[in-house]
Amino acid sequence: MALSIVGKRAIRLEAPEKVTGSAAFVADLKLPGLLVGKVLRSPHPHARILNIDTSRARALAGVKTVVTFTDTPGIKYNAAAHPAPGSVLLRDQYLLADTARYVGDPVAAVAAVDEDTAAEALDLIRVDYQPLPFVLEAEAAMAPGAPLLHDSGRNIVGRVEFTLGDVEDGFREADHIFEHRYRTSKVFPCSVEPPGVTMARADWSGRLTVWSSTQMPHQIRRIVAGALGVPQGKVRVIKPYVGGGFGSRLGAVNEPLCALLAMRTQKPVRLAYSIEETFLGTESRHPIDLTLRTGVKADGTLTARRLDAILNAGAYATHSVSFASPVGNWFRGMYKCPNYRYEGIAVYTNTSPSGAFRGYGNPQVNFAVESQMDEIAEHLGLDPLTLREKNHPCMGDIWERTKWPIESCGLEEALSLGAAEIGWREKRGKSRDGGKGRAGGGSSSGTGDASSTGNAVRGGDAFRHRGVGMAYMLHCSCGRPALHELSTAMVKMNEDGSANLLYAGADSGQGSLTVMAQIVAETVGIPLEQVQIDPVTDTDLTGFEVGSHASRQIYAGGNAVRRAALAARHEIVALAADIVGAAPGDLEIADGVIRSTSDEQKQVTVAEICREALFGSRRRQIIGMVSEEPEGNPPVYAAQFAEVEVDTRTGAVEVLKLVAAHDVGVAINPANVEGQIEGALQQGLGYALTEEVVHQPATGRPGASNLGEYKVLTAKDMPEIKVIIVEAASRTGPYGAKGVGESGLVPTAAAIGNAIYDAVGVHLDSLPFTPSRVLAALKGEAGAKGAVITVKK
Amino acid sequence: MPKFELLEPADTREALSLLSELGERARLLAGGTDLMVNLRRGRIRPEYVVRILSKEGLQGFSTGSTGLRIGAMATIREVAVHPAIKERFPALARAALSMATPQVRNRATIGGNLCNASPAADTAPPLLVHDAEVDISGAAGSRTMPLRDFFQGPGAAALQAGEILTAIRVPDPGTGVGAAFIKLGVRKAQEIAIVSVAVLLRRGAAGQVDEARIALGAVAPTPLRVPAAEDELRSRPFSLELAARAAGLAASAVEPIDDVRATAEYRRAMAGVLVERALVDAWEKAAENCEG
Repeated sequence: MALSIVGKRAIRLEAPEKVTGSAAFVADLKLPGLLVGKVLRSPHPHARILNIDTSRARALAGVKTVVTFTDTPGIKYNAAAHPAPGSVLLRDQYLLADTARYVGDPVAAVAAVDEDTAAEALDLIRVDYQPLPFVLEAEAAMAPGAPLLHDSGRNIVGRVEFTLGDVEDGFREADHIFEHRYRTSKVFPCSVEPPGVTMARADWSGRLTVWSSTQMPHQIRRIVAGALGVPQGKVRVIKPYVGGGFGSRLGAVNEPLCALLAMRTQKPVRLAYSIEETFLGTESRHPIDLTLRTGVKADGTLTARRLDAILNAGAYATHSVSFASPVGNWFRGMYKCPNYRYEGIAVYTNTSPSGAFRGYGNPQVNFAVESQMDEIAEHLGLDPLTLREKNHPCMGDIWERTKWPIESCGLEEALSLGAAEIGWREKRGKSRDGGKGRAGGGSSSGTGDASSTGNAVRGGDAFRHRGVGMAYMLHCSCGRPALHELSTAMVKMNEDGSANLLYAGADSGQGSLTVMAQIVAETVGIPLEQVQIDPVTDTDLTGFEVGSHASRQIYAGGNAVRRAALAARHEIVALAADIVGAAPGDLEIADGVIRSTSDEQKQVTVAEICREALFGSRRRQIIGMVSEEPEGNPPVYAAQFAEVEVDTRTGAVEVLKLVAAHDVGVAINPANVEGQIEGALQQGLGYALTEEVVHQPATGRPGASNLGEYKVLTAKDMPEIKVIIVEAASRTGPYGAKGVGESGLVPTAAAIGNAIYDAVGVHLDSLPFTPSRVLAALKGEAGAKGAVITVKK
Repeated sequence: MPKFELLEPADTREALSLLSELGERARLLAGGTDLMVNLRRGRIRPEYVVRILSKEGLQGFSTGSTGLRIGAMATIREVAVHPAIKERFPALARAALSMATPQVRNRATIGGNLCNASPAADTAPPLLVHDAEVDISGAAGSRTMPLRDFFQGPGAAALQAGEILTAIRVPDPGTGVGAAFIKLGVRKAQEIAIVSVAVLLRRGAAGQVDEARIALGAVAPTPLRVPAAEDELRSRPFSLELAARAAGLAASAVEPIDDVRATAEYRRAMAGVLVERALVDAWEKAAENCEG
């Protein structure tokens, strides 16, 4: 039967609530006697805490509790959420610091009757710090004699190696060897609702309820219980509407601390971090130093690939022990090559902890690999598209990331549609031809020949050069086989033929709720309006769900939801077959009506069947329930193209157009898929051009700590965007879907960097491409380009 | 936010007497877009915040034969969209439109932008090239001074305790004049200038520069004019080479610092580039105004 609901641009179920402002987020929730929590943070990047005097704060009227390290359960925990088997969660952190390890490390917390009292109480706490030597850069932290952050005797927190074949042999076979060093920046997702908004209540029966703006309610339950030393069954986590995830809520942010304040006061407490606290003390994308060496034959065949990555983990491990693994997995999965070697080392530094942020290591790896691929193509005289087409893994090939055969591949279509949309053949290489540059301005504004000086006007336009660039990427649909990917869904049929989906899928704004409803409606055969899903997720009321990570929600969660809906459908069909006197295989359901395909007279509504089940002879509700992992992890492909204009006097880069051609499997809701990609492009543009936090060498303080200093791009900065959906259906995903949540920003920075090269002939090796970096590269200044290119004869 | 007492005098006269009585303990609230941020961040802790209830005499625009008077409490948005400003002082309109966001422009006032005395104040460079003057009132009386003398350092305006800025006067530029404004930032909205430049040129009948004024923001402790560069241009026939020479002199005259937005070195280099581009732009506009 043709699909009637999957593939439709269904309007978001929660749109009316959100656009009218009635949707309740954690900060909107109120309970009688609600207290306000606040955190005191270290002003030092590294300091021994000699004494904390809280007496004046405690004495302040309206202050209900003041806690420091000695008031915590003294249990070391890890805030990251990833369950076994693929990740190692080193426990190296207390709820409040015993030693301050970064500027922003929480050292004390208060709960008071209102915001002002809590703030005043923080001012009254006296902390005696003994400042210690500190280290901000990963490479420096690895050096002998570097200040040590923890008792482990070294700052290396994790180390991962992968090898296939023999890279030395591979390099010997190569006609050319390219080696470059790339550096990526520390960036934050800056979601509309800052991460770290929690309300907690400890009731008199010993139950702890935590309202969390999380992506992973069930994981939060486990982390909170572990950090506080309470039985997991005593903890209940409720997730209301959430204003953007992007990985920033992949683990606990302040849930355990808020719960501690609630337990101490026996009152409900709200702890809501400000956007300034986001930059001080929540997780960022890892800054990575990537040394990439690639051996290639003259015809573009890869013979050896080697990546050495040094990851700046920040002050606590969180994800970092095993984070080097996905970094290596992205690397080895990208291109076919018989020999590769990867080594990744994660290192503690006195900066805020790094963690998950949309792409989970792939944006960093992709920037390095795809920037270098552009240089390789240039040296070999190959079209960059040809080099990708020649070397990317395709359907049927083994994907080195999972070691499983690839289910479907839409890359070639994406490359060809994307190239046509950007005008690749007409534009690529034209700037550098003749050395004068394809100056901008002329074609769009019609001001005439840019280099003309006859009228002594428009002198600036001769310095504006346009170029096009591209990058390709591969991303995942979930975390298998390394990570646990369990989802549990229950589809409950009501006597009016409507369905309730009980599923702990953490829609944090990406729209997965609506897509799940589409899956249920399509699978059962009822109208979309007859599917109800509560946007509020409650660990007491739903089965186990890993949560929203690794672009898994539709692929892995959607799989469980479809299978639960299928189970309900089977029961409906079986009962209908009895009632109308038809073979179950002869029945189909559409729009809430069950019909025999052979006899039109034989029909009954889903509502009648559900009523019959409940109140008729059966006395049993029709419920479909499934708890399972998806079977695979199909890679998603994309090709992105950028057109830029570079001002060679100011170094400013203006992105004129972005084309994102993504193979997402089947798009269950194309509007939602486009929304995911467009939003990701905005973050990818910021990653490429403006966003960066540099901890100041003298003080260890973050150089940007608010949205004035940290440059998230605005609506006015957005270029023309064209999203092209390519549908190479997966075998294992619901209705052929694959992941889409993260992939939209993975290749953006490299595509823009490669377009800058096309415009002005310089390659940039550090993110972001700030005007001063572009200028330095144009001047060929030492240090502007750390690349070493070895071309073997 | 630190606690303060809000005082709401009925008019300017009552406000002046309050301010002179309270001195440093009080801060004046106009649009509040700088004041509230500074309060929230704990940079200032005034005991009193004074908001004048009647804005009579402090807002609105009046045009006369000698020029334009802008009430200090005119909002940035009003400045950006005012027909007379768009027509006769387009560099000022453009600078106003480049500031912050629509929400902030609806609240922020031009007087506040100047009194906050940020080296990067967006409206300062265009007003400086228009030789604007400011009207100041205090309990002791009123005075008028050139805007050039108003900026004394970062955050320091030439206001005595108890004085308020009431209006900005901008002389009519006359014919044959072109003015330009360029602001360099890393994004197109909600941006504080890395460097901003305003230029005013008057084009003589023989193609020579009759008058040249150049002002820069965010490259020195105050927004500033660069006389050496202006002198280089005056009475000479305009050319790209002349513009480049003057721009070089402007770049030598600035005293930028390193901060989170840019290095001093980058700012100095960009001061030159932007002045050169603004000169070309202003010269073109001056030509249009001759013909028109």
